[in-house]
Amino acid sequence: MKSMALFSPRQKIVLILISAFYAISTDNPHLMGGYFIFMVALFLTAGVDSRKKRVWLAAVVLTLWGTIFSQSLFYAKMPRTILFSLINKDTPFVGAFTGGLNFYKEGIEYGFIQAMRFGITLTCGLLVCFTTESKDILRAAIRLKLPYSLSFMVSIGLRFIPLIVAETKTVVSAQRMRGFSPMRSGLIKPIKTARTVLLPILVNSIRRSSMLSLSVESRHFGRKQAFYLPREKKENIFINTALFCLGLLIITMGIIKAFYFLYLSSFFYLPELRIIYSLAEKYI
Amino acid sequence: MIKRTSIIFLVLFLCLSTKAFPDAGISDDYLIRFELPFGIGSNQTVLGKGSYVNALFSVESFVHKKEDIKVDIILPEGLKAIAPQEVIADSGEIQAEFTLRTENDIWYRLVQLYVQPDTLEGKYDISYQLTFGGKVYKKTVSCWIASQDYIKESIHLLRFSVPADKEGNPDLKRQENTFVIKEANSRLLNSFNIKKSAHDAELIAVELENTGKFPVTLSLDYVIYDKNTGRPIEWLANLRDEQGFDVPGIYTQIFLKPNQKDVTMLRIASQDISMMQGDYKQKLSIGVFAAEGAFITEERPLRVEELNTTIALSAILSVVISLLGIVGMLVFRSALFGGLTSREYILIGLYAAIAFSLVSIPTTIIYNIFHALLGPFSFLVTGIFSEMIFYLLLISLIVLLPRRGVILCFIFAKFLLGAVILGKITALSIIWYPMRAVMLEAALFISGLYEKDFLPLDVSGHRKKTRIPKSKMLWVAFVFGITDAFLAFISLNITMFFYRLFYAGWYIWAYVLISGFLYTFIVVPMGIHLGQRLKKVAVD
Repeated sequence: MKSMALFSPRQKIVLILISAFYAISTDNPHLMGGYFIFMVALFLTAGVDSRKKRVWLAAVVLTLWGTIFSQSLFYAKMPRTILFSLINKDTPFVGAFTGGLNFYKEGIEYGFIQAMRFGITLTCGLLVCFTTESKDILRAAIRLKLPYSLSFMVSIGLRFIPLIVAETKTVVSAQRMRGFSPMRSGLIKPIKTARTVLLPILVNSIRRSSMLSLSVESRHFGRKQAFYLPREKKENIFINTALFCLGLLIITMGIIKAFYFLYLSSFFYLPELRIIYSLAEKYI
Repeated sequence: MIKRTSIIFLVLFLCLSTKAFPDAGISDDYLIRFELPFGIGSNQTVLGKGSYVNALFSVESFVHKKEDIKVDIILPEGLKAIAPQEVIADSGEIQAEFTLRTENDIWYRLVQLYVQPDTLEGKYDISYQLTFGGKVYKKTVSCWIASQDYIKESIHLLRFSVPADKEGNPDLKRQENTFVIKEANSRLLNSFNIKKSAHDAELIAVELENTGKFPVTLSLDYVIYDKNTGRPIEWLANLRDEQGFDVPGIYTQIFLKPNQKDVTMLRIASQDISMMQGDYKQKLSIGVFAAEGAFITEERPLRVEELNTTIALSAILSVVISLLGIVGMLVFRSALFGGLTSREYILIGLYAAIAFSLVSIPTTIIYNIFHALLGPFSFLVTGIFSEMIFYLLLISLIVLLPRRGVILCFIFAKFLLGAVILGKITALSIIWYPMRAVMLEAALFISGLYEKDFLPLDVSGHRKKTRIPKSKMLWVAFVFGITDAFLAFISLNITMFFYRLFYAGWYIWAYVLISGFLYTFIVVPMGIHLGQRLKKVAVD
């Protein structure tokens, strides 16, 4: 059975939100790693095709590596061991400006742990994106009280993205035939060229907006909020309960973390909260 | 080095008033001081059998006349003078003759003594005599001798509290074995060499007890080590150099009478703390003053937490602005969106779709690749999509629809497209997008781009259908550049706060200036041009 088949689009949005906040509320590598593995398991059992799995894998690996790379360079905790120097601090100008740029051994591990935060949100986001139709997510967002005007704009955007992509390809092909090559000549030239690429696409959009507005207004749009939302399937009560518990857990973790931060920074201390401080330090 | 610092210390010592040394002998015209061991000041201590100690004997003149002086020091059995040879009459007696020529002239000698191992434990008297101008001045000082084992057994470390409060109790308000430093390694403020601390000082309390029958002066040495190298951390070593000591660490003395316990505070002034956050080792060593080696050592881990207020305030500020943005959008919904026509909604939706197709998707793909290749410097390339094309579209849209609420709609629509199509919903984006919308709406208001009088009037009082003047264009570019620089700064800081990432101060500046200000400043005039060209199409 496909794991995500149990989730309704609304539950999927809630899952993304929970994952997003979970990713930032813990510092415990085990909790983070555990949740990441849970997400990966959900992804692998969701019945996503192999091409999408490769896309996900590439995205996760690149994100992990990118974070490890940056954190190995900027790791600012002790102890730290220099593996090699990219810029020596004695190098004229750059060395003095940067104070040296070294690759730190401890930064690799630290970067990996922090990259799991991105891994969680990325995996969850792609999981929902690969297993749900965009329009279903939008309907779920409307059910979650997304302002109607915003949902209308998003619907228009969703409807026209394929058309815009096709138009962009056509314009870029035409530009290429005229010798366009982005990134060829400095910073300004590609932007100037981009402007010429954008112009026909934007002109079409303006014309399209005029026609569309005539069309929607002739259907009484804007006078009364009348739109059809198909009846949603009954949601799985167990998933709802699990999401509720998970949400509650994350709110609790967030509150504990906030108290711990205030304690650590000497802003607020209550002897009665020592157990919470200890909990935050050891487990969260 | 040792000799030089000893001499400096000695001279400073001799410059102190007699009040600092109540045991110093004072004749009418001369101040005589006998310190055993040297450096102990007014304290007293037991001497360990088999140990070497330095004693200081000095005479300072208070009279403006030349005087020949003779000194005799008679040592008790068990104490033997070793050096300098010039003053040793025999091992049990020290004699010296010298001349003090004028007021404040000082004569002093450091005499090395040896405590013989077979000496009986107990109190001993050392008598000394000063003869000058036919007068004789006599005095006796006491010392105690005990075996080193006895001294060790009688001293107990009762408590070593890190951090401690001002009363010397463990500071329960703070985490044990933890220092909290603020901006000690600030990514931003370090660029200006500004360092502050969360507390005036970090206090360490050491409680010791002397259960023996002799008074004892102990030396306490507190050192912080690098966990990896085992070497004392640099700033402490520097601190120590300034004080003229050779051992890197915080040092103090404690005097304990028989059967007394006392708390000593070690204080590290916050302005002196210059260490990076992380894990260290701290070591407390206690030994008898002037004797070699410590007999009590305690080693513990030390954690240094950095309270980076820049990051924390950025996070708080962004959350507040985002909340204001969301609440404002809900409360003033009709004022913001009510005036928009269906054509304008559609146009914003289409612009959001273009932004999503030409900014979000390429940025997502390119960012991952360049982030892997260039690491943190990927913004130099990805900024072209995420910043330049985005602002090109945004500014042209504003020129087309110069109204409040347009930016808000555009940014929210783009965010929702990303959320719906790519599942890009993170805690950061939930904070970031509303804040960005609010800040850019504010920038739009300040730049005056949607004001009616933005285009100059002609002589007949009609709005000129000409291009926006360069000065106004530059003003808009500057306002949006500054706003985006601020947003870039906040963005990096909240990333550091929520994702616990590190970035160097220079990197933040480079990112803010290039990706934040420069890219935006360059592209805003282009966006205005583009918008003006599109306006012709819209009018047609």
